[in-house]
Amino acid sequence: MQSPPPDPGSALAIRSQYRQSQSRAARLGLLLGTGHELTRLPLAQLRQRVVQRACAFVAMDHGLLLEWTPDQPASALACHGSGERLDWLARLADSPVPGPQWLEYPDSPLPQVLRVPLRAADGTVFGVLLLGNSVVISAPDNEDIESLQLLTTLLAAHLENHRLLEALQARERTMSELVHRLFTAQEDERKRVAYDLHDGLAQNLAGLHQRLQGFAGRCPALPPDLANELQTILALAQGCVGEGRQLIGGLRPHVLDDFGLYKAVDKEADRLREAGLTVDWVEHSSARLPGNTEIALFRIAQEGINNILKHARACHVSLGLSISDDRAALRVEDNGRGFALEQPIETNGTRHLGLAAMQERAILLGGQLTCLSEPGDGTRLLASVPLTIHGAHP
Amino acid sequence: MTSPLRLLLADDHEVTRAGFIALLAGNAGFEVVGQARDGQEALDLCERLQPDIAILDIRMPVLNGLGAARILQQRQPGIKVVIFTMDDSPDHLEAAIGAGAVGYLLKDASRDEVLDALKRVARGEEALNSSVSARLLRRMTERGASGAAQLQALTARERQVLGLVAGGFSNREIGEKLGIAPGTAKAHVERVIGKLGAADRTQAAVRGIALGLVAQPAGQWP
Repeated sequence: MQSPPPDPGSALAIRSQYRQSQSRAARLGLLLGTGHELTRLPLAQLRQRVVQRACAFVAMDHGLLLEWTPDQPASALACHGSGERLDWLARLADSPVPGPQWLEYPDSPLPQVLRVPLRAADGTVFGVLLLGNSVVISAPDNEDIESLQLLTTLLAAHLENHRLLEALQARERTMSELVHRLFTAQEDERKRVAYDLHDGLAQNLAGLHQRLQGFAGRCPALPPDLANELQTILALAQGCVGEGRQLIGGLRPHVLDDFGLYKAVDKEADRLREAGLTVDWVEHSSARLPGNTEIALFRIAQEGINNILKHARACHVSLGLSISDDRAALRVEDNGRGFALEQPIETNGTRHLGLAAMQERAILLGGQLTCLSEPGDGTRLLASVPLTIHGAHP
Repeated sequence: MTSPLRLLLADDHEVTRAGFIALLAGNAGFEVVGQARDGQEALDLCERLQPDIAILDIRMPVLNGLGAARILQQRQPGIKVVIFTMDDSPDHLEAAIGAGAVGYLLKDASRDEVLDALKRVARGEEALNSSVSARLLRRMTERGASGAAQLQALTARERQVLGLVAGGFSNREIGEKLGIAPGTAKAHVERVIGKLGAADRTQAAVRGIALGLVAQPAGQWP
């Protein structure tokens, strides 16, 4: 009697197909499940889940995830299984082989080990997933090992992104701190120089001018050429005092220290009035603010007014300063030609840089600055800062 | 000849006090009877010396010139106060007037200016630096005339929008004509209404036409 010919519909073939599709589903489930968890779980939990999933996937009872950096030795960040055996497993971290390896250690606590490295985008290995079995089973097939490698690739990419993001955030914090120190140092220095100029050079010049005038008044009649020369000297001395005064005002306006933000901005607005623009205050408040807030908002207004004089071709400017218990808002609006905000930076580099500096000043106080503009539709600048918390740097 | 005007000079900078005295030197009409280095010392010396005029710097230790002026005005209203300062802001001038000063001189004033100011103050007149007071005046007139200022506040785009509002167009139509979203057009219209101080778009249109901001469309207005 002959055995029946192999039938594709036979129970054996169906069972084999069923097993294959089951293991495909398991592979897919492993990757999809992990992919899902990547962005949802915190890193420590994610590592632990990956180790557990990997163990379950290849039916191994021990798992260990080790990571290292160029400056720090390997450390275990997730594990599954008993402590002593994991210690033994940890010894297998180092290996020159870049890809996954199936290793057998008969008569050891874990006779079977699967080693899958974690690689960064540039190819450097920065960790390893080690799986071990305390009982001997049949080795996983290549497709399963490939799936595990895909899993570690997913994890490695996510860890690397996270590391890069953290580095970027740290850098951002450093930059922000540096900008803060730069602004503070600049303002302190300006204030110091302004007060030094006021008490030193400017007073000496004023004294010199007065003495020269006293001298000229008591001088016996001079020949015409000498009299002319004396007049020139007097005019020069007078000019020096005036220039000194302007210099001091530019560095650190006394009005800001004496009368606060509203008056100081209003004095800056005199530059607009002198240029023939009309200025109106839609709202204002004379309440005093913390020193760093006053100077930051003043510099923002000053820069805004500079921009209007330089670029806007406006004939009217509306100013606003509202101060509530927890917020100060400064508004500078012109009716000039405006500009396209999305214009590339190179067409108007300095102006955009000025805007960035204004923005940075507002952000350092924990506030924000918005600038709205369109060609033909003026420019609206609004800086708003909280008052209860005095900025990110108390 | 009348007796010279008796002056008290207060400034924390020795060089400026000496300069001021040198400036007056040789002029028999004035005599500096006392010098103080801060506002408090100035008050004490005024009490003791009874000068005709106290010349005060603003920025002084212990008590500044404005504070000293205010106290002096209460205690010895007969003594005239002249502020002598580096600060050329209208706010400092306004504060000085508020504190009772009748003179405001900048430290780069010419000899004639100083002598003239002191004589005028002695006569009971005021002597305020003309360029600083002109700036103060301009601000004050501007505050009074803010209604007129608002008219100028419209941007080119807003004047365009106002023209279309006056033409009777809806926000959607304005948006289509200008190639902007209806929401943007609406925002423009609201801003125009706000800037003109109008209650609604009709009033804004009427005001725009009345103020000559909008050309009256001939065909539509019988």
